[in-house]
Amino acid sequence: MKRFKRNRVARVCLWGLVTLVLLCALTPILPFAPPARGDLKASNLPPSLTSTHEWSLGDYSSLEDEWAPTRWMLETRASIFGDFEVGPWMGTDKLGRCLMSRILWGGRISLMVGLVATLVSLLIGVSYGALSGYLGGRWDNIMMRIVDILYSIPFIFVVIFLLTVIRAQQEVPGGISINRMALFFAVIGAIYWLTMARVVRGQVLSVKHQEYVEASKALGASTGRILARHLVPNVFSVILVYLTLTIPRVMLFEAFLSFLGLGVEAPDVSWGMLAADGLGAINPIHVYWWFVLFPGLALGLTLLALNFLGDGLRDALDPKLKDR
Amino acid sequence: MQKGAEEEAQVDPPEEVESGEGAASLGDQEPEGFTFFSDHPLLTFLLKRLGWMALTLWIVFTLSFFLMRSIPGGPFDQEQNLSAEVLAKYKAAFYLDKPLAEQYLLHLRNALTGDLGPSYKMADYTVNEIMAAGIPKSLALGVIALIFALTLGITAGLLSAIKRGGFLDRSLMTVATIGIALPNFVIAGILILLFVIWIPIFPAATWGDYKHLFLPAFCLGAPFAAYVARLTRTGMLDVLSQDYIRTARAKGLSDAQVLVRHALKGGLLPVISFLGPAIAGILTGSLVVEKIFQIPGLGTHFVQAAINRDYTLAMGCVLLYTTLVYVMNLLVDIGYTIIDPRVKLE
Amino acid sequence: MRRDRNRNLFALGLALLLLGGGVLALQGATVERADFTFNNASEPQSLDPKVVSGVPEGRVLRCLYEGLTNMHPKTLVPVPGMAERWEVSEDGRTYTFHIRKNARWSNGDPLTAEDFVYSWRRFLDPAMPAKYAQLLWLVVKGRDFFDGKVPSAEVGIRAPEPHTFVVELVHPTAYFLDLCSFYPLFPVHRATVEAHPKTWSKPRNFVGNGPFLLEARTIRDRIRLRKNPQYWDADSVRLNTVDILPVEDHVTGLNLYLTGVLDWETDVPQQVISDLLKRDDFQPRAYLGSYFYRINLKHRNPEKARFLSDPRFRMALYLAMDRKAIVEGVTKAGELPSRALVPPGIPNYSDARHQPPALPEMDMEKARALIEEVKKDLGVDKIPTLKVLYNTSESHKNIAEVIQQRWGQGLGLKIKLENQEWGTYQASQKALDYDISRSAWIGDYADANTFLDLFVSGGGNNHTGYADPIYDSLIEAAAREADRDKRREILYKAEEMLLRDLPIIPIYSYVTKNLVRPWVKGFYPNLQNVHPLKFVWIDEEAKKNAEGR
Repeated sequence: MKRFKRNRVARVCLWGLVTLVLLCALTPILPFAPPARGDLKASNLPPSLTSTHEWSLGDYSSLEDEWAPTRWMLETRASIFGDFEVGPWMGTDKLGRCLMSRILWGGRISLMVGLVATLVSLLIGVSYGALSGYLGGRWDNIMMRIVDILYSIPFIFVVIFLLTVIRAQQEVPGGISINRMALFFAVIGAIYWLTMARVVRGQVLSVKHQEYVEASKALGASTGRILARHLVPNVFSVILVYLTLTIPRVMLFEAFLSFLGLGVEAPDVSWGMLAADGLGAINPIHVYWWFVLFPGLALGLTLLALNFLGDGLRDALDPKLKDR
Repeated sequence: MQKGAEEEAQVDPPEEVESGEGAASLGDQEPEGFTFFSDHPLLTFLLKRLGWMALTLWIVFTLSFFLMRSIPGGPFDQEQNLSAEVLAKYKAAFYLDKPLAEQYLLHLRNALTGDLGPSYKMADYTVNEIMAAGIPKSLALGVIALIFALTLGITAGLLSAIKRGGFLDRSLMTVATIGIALPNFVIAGILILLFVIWIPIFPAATWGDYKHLFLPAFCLGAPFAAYVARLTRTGMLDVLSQDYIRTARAKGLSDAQVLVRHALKGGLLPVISFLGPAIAGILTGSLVVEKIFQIPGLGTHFVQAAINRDYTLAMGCVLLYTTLVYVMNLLVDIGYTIIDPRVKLE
Repeated sequence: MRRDRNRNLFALGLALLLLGGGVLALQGATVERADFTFNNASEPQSLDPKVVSGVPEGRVLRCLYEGLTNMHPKTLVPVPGMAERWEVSEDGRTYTFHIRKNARWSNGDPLTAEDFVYSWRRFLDPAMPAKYAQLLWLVVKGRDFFDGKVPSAEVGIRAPEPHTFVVELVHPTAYFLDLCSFYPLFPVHRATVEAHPKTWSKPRNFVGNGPFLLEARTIRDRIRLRKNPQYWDADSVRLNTVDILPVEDHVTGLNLYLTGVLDWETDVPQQVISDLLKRDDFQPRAYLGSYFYRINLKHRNPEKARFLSDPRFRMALYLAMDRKAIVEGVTKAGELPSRALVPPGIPNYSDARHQPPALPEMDMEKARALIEEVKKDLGVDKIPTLKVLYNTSESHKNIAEVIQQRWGQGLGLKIKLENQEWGTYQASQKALDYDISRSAWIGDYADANTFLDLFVSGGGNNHTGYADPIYDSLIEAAAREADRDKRREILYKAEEMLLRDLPIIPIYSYVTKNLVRPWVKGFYPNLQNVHPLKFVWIDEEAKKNAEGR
């Protein structure tokens, strides 16, 4: 850890990310405008300091569907700040919604997509890779071939397919209602586990023949126990590094899906969606620069920070892997 | 979208561990490494890999076939002006009314003979024609993007490796990381505004001469250039700390000579292993860029076919993509053994 | 050293690969700029009139072929095309067309009535009919031939003399002459089609009868047309070459227009409309299209069905919708808020002299009252969350967001938005797998029937579950009615019914969004947004002046 502390860039990135996560997590309690409140008369406004609106809880249309803590935070906010709200510091979009509050609320979703999807990929990838590496031999060969084959499958079909099937299931009356967002996470996660599986397998292969593993095997420990007690902790550092490096990829992939119109659904927002929507604003006739600049900055800086953090962690945790 | 690309780059370390182990023993027996056609290993290796490829293609074919048809909406269902009676006849004409298993066998048989059928949505063309028209364009775009990625990436990587820790190193690596951190549609939008509208030196879009390819190729290559830069830098740093470099220096070779004669070979290994997925990623990952710059390549067909439920064209694209990824990885594996004789083919 | 040689070989191979790519890149080479270039916004499905069914295809086909009649570029009324004149029988059921003697195919072959007989029979071909085949069910025994019940000879399409073409209709049809200028009914060259059944529409084989020839076509890249010297009216065609681009992204299209590549762009990004309105080259005009929301009257979920199938509930949705805010705040190009399905401007229906039925203006109070009434009658306190479905597009999304806010805050409804890409969206609509769905319809011909016909029971494009035998009989009666005024009254009754039952919620009627360079002449605004390139020409002087400045 000492090495990590010495890396100033990574430290700055870490604190920046922590601040961002806190800011996004606490957005509902802070005096920002409601992200979905449109005012067509106040559309396309450049950044300004003062708000012409009074905040009201009624502007959060699906309040009852919100997660309880969010609702609670909004109610707290109402009692602290009343109808005060900060101005559109980042301008308004074409429906007159405050861009800054959209970015903050979008950050909640973007970060969550990145984190949850990565965790899903982690879960699948680590168990698959560890198992494959541990079993070794023929099983390893077969399992890795499967990964190779999956690697060659164009994922866009998988995404369109899964997103459609999810939708179909929602419509069953009285049936299980599946949150599209949750499945969206799962879909992306399921695509990204392949790399993780390969990496973990490689690590496991190299640790496997260490003496202490052989020893516990000889003592009759079960496969699951050996995996959990000896192998997984050993690949932990690699996992941590990959976590920080996979989150940005997942977030970029979400942006790409948004560009194709397959991202999150309105009124939910994500950075990718904001950036893709803002793309129309970069045109020769009239440049609404704030439409692209701020979402782009939010996305870019976060990914930048995550990348640097990942590099720093790698340097610190595993000098062997240095800068790979 | 540099999805495939990064992954491979990251996968590198463990695989190297393995190959390193195997290489040691092989290196003892056959110091000259493997040679073209004088031995059998390459041939058996190729045959084995081709076998796997056939299996992969078949699995991909089957999966895609049933995936596509399980998505709501068929190729003719989505036209507003079609009456039910006409729709039924069109479905019959393209065997879409047959049981799924029968359709599957039919399409599989045709695909085996290399006939992917007519496109459902561009009725004047067969899938083979559409892909034949799209491949050269995607290829041209991809190759130029690759040239960008390699020249910019390797230069930047070398510079930062030499000036390690300096200002140049840091700024180059920051730029490289930004290249990875921004979605390429944002990069494309900014470049168009800068170099098409404000300083009109490049055409806005469409297919034409080399000028039309510059911006899209740059946008496509940028994230890959960033990766190449990082890989080159680390590769070089690794090599520069090795004993034989120090020996070379001690022998009195100049820095430049050391760099070119000795360090470059080893330092670029990670870049080589990244090439396979990068090429595949560039060729197929161009769909955003192709859309923004109106390049009539495969990427556009790929997305449109999926959205239009153009089953045959979509299948063609899927198979082509799979083949590309596979062949590129194969080439890289072979290339790797040539450059680094310690690595054997398995 | 052997290894070195191998390495060099590999490097050489790589270099060759790169070089080859470079050569391929340059192989595209610059094409000489055409006299006139326009963006058609998508790759045409086909150049075969039989296979096409969309607006972009229509633009291309009108250059390559010509029907019995043509559309007048300003008024759209049928004017002589391949037929130089025609007669209609007393009962309005038999049309006799006289094909002009100087009508020729682009390869020099004379074009005769037989060509139309062949093409129209091919149109109804039971094995592989045209996508629009139902249009010719109007013809005696047309439907029977389509169903494979009678041979082609029995269909009411005949050529008694080489230059006389006779069509017998099942019943008088007010818009039949308009139909004759509709692109699916264009003739095809029999010898070519039969010689190259699969490749006749490729440039190397193509034979047409329109003002332009197909010179080259590259997929999703461009279609190059050249003036057809064999065309009967070649003297009035002033463009020598035309390029048609399939640019789908409108920001890209706008960039191309502004950098001088395009002379005509058919649509513009929403974002810049208010800025474009200040320019002379952007003049939106009324367009024969309606934007509306469909409502699923046969919802499978009984909870939702109770509300959605209640006309008062649908009326409340209508009354609470701020159409003015949508057209002024979102679409912005001067679209007209609609209070009916049929858009304004249709001759003898919704033009300046006629007053078609319409719904009341927005009324929030009444909407709330209706909702309360429905809740009370059903004995329910909570209305289930409803979903608005739209196909992936920014402007559909923005409109839905405005409506969501209105219905949410104004009526206290819980509304969710759901976007699907086009294929899934169409499938959901067809399967009645939605609550409320964004829809639109662009009229195929300037007649109210093309809109009202949508909602007959079981109609292929109904997609709402609306079924009323009285409505069906009105549409049927209007089709058989030869008297223009009586027919109009019947159609008014039908639309009145539709607006009473409200399976759809009208939102606005479309406007055209053409960006046309000021020196492009012979380009006239009209209701169907049809601009035959035959009449278009470039005012070189104006162009030079404009470019000189």
